[in-house]
Amino acid sequence: MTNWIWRGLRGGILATRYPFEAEAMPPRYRGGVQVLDGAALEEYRRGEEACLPRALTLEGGGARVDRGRCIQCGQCQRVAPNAYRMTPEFELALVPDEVTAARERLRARVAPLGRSVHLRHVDAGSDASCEQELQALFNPFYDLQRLGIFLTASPRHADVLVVTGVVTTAMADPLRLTFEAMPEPKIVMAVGTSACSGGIFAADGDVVGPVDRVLPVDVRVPGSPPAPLAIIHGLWVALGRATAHAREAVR
Amino acid sequence: MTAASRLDAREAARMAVERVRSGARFCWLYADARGEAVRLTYVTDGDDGLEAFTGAAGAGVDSIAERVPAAYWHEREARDRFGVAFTGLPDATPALPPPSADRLRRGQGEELSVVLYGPVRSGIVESMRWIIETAGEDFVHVHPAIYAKRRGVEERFAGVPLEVAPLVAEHVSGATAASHATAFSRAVEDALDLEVPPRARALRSALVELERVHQHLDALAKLAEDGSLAIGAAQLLAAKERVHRLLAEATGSRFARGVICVGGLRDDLAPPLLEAAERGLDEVERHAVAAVEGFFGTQSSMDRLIGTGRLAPDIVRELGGVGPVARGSGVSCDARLRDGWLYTPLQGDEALADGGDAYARARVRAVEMRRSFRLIRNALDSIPDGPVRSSVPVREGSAIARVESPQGELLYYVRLEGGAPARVAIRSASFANWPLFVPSLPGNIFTDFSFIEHSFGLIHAETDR
Amino acid sequence: MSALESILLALGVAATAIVAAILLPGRTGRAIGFAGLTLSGLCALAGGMRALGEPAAAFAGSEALHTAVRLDPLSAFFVTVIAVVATAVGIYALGGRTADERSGGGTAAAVSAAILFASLLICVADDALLFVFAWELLAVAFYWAAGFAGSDPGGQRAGYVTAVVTHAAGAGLIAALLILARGDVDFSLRRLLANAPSLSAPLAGAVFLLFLVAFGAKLGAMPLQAWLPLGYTAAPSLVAALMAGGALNVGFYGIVRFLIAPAWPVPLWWGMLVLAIGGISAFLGIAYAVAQHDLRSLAAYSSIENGGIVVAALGAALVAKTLHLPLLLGMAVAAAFLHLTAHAFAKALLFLGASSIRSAAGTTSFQRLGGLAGRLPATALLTGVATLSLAALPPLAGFAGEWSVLETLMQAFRLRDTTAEVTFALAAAAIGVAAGLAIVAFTKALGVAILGAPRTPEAQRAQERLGARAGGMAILALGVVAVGVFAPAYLGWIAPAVDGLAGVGAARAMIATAPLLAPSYPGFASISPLGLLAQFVGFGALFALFVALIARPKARRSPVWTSGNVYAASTSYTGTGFVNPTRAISAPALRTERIITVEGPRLAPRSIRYESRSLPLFDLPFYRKVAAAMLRIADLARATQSGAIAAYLSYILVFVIGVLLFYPSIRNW
Repeated sequence: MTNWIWRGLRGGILATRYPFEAEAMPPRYRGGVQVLDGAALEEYRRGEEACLPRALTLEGGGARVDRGRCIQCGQCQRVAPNAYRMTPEFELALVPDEVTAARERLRARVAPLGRSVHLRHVDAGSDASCEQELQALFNPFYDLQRLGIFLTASPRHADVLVVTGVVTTAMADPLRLTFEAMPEPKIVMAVGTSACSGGIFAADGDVVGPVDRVLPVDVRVPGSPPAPLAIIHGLWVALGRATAHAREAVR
Repeated sequence: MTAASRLDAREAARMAVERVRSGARFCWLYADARGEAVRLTYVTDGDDGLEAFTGAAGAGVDSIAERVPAAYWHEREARDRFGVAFTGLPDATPALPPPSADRLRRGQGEELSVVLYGPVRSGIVESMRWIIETAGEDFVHVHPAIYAKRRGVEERFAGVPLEVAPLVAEHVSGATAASHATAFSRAVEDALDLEVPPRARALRSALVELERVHQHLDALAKLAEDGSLAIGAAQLLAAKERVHRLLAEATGSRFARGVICVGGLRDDLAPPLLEAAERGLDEVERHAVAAVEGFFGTQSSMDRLIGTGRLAPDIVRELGGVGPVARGSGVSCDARLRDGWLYTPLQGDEALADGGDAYARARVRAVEMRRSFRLIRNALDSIPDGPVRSSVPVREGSAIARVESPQGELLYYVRLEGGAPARVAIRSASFANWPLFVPSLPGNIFTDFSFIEHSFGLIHAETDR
Repeated sequence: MSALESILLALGVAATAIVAAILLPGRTGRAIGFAGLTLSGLCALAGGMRALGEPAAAFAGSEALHTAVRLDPLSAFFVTVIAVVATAVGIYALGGRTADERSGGGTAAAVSAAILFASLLICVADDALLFVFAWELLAVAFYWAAGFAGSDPGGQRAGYVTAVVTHAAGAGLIAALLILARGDVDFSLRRLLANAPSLSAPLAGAVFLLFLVAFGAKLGAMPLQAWLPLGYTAAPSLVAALMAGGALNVGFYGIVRFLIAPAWPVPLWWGMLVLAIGGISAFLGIAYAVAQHDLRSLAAYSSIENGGIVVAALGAALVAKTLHLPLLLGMAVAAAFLHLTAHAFAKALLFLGASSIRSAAGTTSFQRLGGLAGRLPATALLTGVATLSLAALPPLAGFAGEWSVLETLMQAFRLRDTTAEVTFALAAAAIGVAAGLAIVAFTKALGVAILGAPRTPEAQRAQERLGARAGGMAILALGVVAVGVFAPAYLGWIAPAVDGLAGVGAARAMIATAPLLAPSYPGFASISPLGLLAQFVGFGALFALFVALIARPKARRSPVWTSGNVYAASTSYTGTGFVNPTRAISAPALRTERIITVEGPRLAPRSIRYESRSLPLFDLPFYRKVAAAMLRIADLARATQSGAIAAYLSYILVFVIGVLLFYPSIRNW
């Protein structure tokens, strides 16, 4: 019989101290996109054309990134390295554009939750990688429970609704029913680029669209899939304990 | 792989049935519509490898589902998506769009109630609907209602430049992105008669095997969690995390996304991969093997798996099961053995087990994981020099390619037109395997359900597409 | 008017009611019949209550017509219980015709009056012929009720089975009485029973068994129980209320009067046999009840269970009689009486509730009900009281009764006879298991039929139409609560009936520590039903206060959460689903047949039909074999009735020769 106690003790403490201490992804990690200044227009255009989810738009003399659409593939950097650079940042969470009002509303809703929240996850049509990264949050390296964040099966006990994947036609009603089954105050978090903006999927017969077509979304965590650290940052923003670094309009 | 094109789908069907009768496995039936005309292709896997028989559907074709049960769901999807008429298809209820629970109920009698399990289930799991008809604690009839997550990915490929098309494949199943990107790229490369440089082949095989490791660890972690072995699950998930960190270090993505492309790899990953492996592969392997051994050494967990969800080999063969699910019942089916696409051939026999229960399937995964580490080292120890990518010509063509994904045999069909995919069809291992779920249920009780589900290790995103 | 006169008046009114209900057409006949039932019940109640406190009174009437009746405290007790049930049923019935009465309902009224008449007569008859007449009349009334009064199909068969079993039992009764008579031409029951002690042991044993068969069959004791569920479900539910709550008790009366009361030497095996039958009936009865699909058949099997419990208590009384423990004897009888009262009221209430549910929702099948608590609040509440009492939950009557019976069996250590102690223990175990199963069965009845959400459109459309009927149900509900909470007072009131048998103040000893209820042996155990009630009420009030005082956020109504699906009634647990684990555990006793029929191709079945049936151990196949044997004997006997004068003349010749030959010895019998 395996001696798990001995194994566990021998393994030591693996948990990161993020968000209380800084953490970093490996240097090659493709987290966010940075638009570099001073490149040729041609280069910006090449990058914009190469972007499958159309996250880049030419603007002024350069380009603008819709972080909610970026799938972190790095094609823009490959075809136009002078115009775009991928950085290993992971704190990519977004809140809606109407900053003050949205943030105030969020803060008002978050205050009564105290310091401990329960998450209810719904898969609205993901590609299964977001689920695995969410599951990773409960492994010894990230250990979400040390932050007072727990998972619950019943929406009646949940404070935060975490939605992954673009919303398919068949999942729109179940998603809505889950939201309605949650008592106030509640927060909706869209995890993954498909959930934030639809990503490479446009609304058509099978796809309704990103989560905000169905529910009011408070925090978006883009990424394909977002790294567990990015999701932790997103949760911290949702709980009003961190600010989103970027405030981007989501088309 | 041999392809035979016939004028009539009926003849194609007949030839496929003949192959199945003489011992081949039925793999796939897909439809390709060019304008008004729909062409059906039947794919079997026999001693001579993959064979495809294509014919025009015309007014309609006879259903082969009664003779070849493995074809049943393929025919239903072809009927609902392309309007092909299959005479004699057992179920007239459309599978697409997903019908309501009332239409799927088959039980009669006042003593039956329905358990609508899903689509929103407890925990962080994919959405899937099960309509379970029960008279208490037993399963009278179970209907898995797939297509809740249907996004229409196959259609998304149309017209996407080949340079970025593998990214769409990665979205079919993000957790097994490397397998999907490889299968798609291989199909395009076969269609274009393009040779991939050996350096790229070695790197691809290392990435696919690393993916196999983290997916098998995931399946075993879920089994540990089902049996409330929290610490076992934690150790297995920690081992999985180490693999993801290795991949992030080497490729820039925790799931090796965005690096595999048509013609090879986008970047020369050999230096960073070798460096990352040198630094950490030993530790990754050590922890993974220890966690798996620890799990199998926990008798109470094993007791829940032994005898649960038994699948007889003939049912597996009849329904065309693949992957660890098939191998757990002793049915041989490993694409790596059949196609020899790997840089280094698979050493030793494939991992087969008797028993057909959840325990056997878990054992198969454990053995495969260890062998994957060996394959990774083989690939990395002797990476050939040379380019990492061939240039991609613009030509017409079509081909079927096969890759052994962690769930089993993954097939991609790509038809190119004007330098971009015109039609992509995908037969994932999960689509092939999930019909085996219901036959594995009788004799089990409700609490065995999640053990059986996780021992199958299916990814619903690649079933529903 | 004296007590006896009240009873005679009750009998007269009941007889008139029978005739009126038959002769007058439709609604009028029904109204007059049930009004007569109510009036008769009230008279009988008045008479019974008075007679409990008075010494025995007799009325000889006409010698030729054998109309001798006698009212002693024992008879008075049974008369009271039956009268309460009859009055309640009458009041309920006056509220209007119920859905399961055939045509105008006149038959139901006549039958009910007949059942009351016959039951009352059985309890007060002092003439053997009158007794037998009343017994047969009751059997005919049951046949009539099962076969011709209900509107459900299948009544004919139910009536036939009922008639066969009760007639066979009646034959046993006649035989026993004949043996007791010992050739005397005196029909007085009192004198017949006084003969009992002088019977030889084998004859006494035969008499005992014959009486046991006769009265056991009326009670549905195993193995003679098959007719009971058939008969009770075929009759209209309100008549079944009278049958189960009223007429059933004559079986107990018979056992007490003919087995326990006579001053004969009771061998130990009698009491142990009765105990065994009681325990087995209790266990098997409720095991089958659990598996029933219909509320009325569940109630019928529950009657078998409760009958078994009372019979077990009476068996304990017999053992106590053998071992000369009058205190235990009295306690056993008191416990039996308490429990049978509880059962009579609760079962009658349950059947009346079933009648109301049937009228409102069109069915009493569990799988087609649900959600009645919202739609029929009064019915649900009153039926709920009945189910809780039958599940023996405090502080209701069923709890007090079952507790007393179990306490009686707990006194085994006083017996000082090993076999008797073991039998007591086994019977107690059987009753304990039965109590547990009863909770499952009645949770199913309450949970599946009344609580939850409606399973069918009929259940959804159910409308409360109780009106005046609620009065009848309320009387019984109040009785259930009162007898439970004030059990000591009730025991004190019926003490004359008990102590008359035991000869010592056993019942009074049980209530010596009122308001606590205790065994007649002091210092052993005690419960306080009143205290329990006070606790429930007190804690309930405290909780309500707590809830009212604590501020709660505004609530929002939201649909039931079912995994992201819209709620469907088909997801409600069925009755079968709920009891499946219980059925699996009691599989050896409950042989459940599961029939699954799959239609269509294997890959895509078109339909899967599921049916389950639980087959009791002693059931119709067993009876059919017995009936076949008896029919063969009857065929042989028929051969003698050839119709030829010559044959009959030769019978007479043979008989005369026989008498002449054996006359001298016959004289000395």
